[in-house]
Amino acid sequence: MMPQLVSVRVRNGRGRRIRVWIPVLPVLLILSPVLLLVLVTAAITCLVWRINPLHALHRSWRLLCALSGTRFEIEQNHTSVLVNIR
Amino acid sequence: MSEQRRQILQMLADGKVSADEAEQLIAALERDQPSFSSSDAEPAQKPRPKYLRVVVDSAENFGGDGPGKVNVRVPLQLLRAGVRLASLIPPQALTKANEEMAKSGVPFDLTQLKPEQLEELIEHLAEMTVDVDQPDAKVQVFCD
Repeated sequence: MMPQLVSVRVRNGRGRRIRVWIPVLPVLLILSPVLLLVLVTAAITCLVWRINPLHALHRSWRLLCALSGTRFEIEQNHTSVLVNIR
Repeated sequence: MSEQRRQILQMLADGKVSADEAEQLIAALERDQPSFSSSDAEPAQKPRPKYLRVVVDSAENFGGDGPGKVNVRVPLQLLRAGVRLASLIPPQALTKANEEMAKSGVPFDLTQLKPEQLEELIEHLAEMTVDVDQPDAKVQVFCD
């Protein structure tokens, strides 16, 4: 299953916090025209390199789906960044 | 003692099966459950790990910027998907990547990375734990 939500939390040195929740599917839908262009470019690149575009698409999709559960949390002094993919 | 083994012994005691048949049944049971040894005190098979975790905890003033923490959780499924995607890379590109990695001091042969060997690698990763303990920092790499 593809990731549904990406949450990003940033805290800067002055203690200001920013937390953003990004719903993946709506963002993909908004970006669909750009995505279509990217897919066409990727397919042409695959054909140039003699890679099956369908295989590449399938495996890229699996990679995207496998991102669920990824979490990066880095904290240094009073600054921190958290990226959580669910 | 497992319930199935007990049942086989009960059948032997009741005379429903011969000693040879009971032995064959127990052998078949052990084949089906290779993780259980003859000693019943052993715990059940450990669940397969799902995540690779990297935890770094550095003390105050480590690196001059105050205390730091890193907590990374990467699904092992991502590793599988990544290797499968990398297997599509043409051999000439892999050769170039190998050369560049060797130049940077990482003599790693990407052509030897096969998706078929990945399951074995992940199974062994489950038993891997790296613990680095220093007075000013602690690093842990493990699977859970």
